[in-house]
Amino acid sequence: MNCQRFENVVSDLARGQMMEADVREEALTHSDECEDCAVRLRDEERLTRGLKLLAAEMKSLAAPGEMELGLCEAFRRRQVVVPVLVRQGNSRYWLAAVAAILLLVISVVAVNWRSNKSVTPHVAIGGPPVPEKIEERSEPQDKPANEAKYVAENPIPKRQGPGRARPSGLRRPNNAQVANHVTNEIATEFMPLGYMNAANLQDGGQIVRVVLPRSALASFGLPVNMDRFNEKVKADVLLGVDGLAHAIRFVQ
Amino acid sequence: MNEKSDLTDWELLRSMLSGDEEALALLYRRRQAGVYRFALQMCGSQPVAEDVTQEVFLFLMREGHVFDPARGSVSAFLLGVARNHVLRRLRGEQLLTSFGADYDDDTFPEHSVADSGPLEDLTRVETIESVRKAVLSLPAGYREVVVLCELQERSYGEAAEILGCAIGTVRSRLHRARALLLAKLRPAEVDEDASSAPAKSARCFA
Repeated sequence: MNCQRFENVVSDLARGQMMEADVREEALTHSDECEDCAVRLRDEERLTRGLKLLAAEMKSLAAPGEMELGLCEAFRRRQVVVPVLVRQGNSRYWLAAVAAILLLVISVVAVNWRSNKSVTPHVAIGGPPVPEKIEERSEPQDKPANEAKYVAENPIPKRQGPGRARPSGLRRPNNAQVANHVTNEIATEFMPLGYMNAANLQDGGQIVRVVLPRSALASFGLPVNMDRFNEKVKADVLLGVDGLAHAIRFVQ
Repeated sequence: MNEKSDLTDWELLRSMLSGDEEALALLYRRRQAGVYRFALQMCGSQPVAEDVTQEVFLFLMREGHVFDPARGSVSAFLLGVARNHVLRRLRGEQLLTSFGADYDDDTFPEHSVADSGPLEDLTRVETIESVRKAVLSLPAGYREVVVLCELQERSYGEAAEILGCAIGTVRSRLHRARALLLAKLRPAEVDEDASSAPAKSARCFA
């Protein structure tokens, strides 16, 4: 060990700090051999003793006794001011949380509103018939959908069976063209069955002609002629690619 | 009462924050002396030390919920708060020597070999007073490590936690602080000689 290394450890040596045994041994050996380092160590030890005397002298010092009474009184009165900064921090978090929730709610409402607007077919009862091109694989065309109407018959191309080729892109039932099989046939607009997701219909679907009891009209809020209650009524069911019935219209 | 006296500082603090006045009293009695002595050793003024002690415990009542037991002990937390209050007071009263301003590496006092060492031929009372004045004359950064490690007998790790620095930094500062103290405590005639002529040393650095 040289003097420079000794200088690095002399304070810890004088303070009695924990150190590696061999380092301590080397340092003590060096102090025996080097007079200057021995003096250095002696000075450090004197300083340590002086500091310990000061520490011992002050060990009995404490705050005045009445301070405890004052603190307890303050604690009882709870007149401790809460820093405004903390409150602002808390309110900031709450405001952010409320804003996030509002944004989420508005987004959900907006998405639902768009979905409902796009997929909800309107029940057509009465009203002026609107001639429409009838197509199984219909390309949806925009048309006003808020009026109750029966669609006028039009000649139609050959029609589907359940096993026929898949029609392309029936996007929105309320925009779908009415498919009439025969001349003089009129039909309501498509009415949704349960929850209809426009996304499911974007991949296409098919219309299947079915026959139902007339009482089924009542299920959809349509008027039923009680004299013909036991008769059958034709209906077109809109099937999606998932094979589920998504909408129905009644045909007369 | 006996049961509560067995609680740890952290348990007393939690109880106090829940509204337990007795817990506050117990915690105060347990820790007030250390805080007071630290403040007194740092500033040398009893009124300031009393004010700081009171402010520390008022802070604890208000902001005790910010204490994180994972980051250290309640004792270290209290001393850290006390340190901040002391430095603020000293800065305000312009009693604080800027840290390291007069003691950069180039001008740091070299140890000089002299015939008479520091604190030699002094009585116990004189020694205590000399050391106390020397400590109070240190720049704040060196003073606080001496107070914590030498007078409060904190370990390097505890001091580092209180000061918010690395253990190596504490060791380094303490080493330099002790060199400063030695230079201040050296007899005056030796200091005058040292200031007039460069210190000569035959120490080897091989």
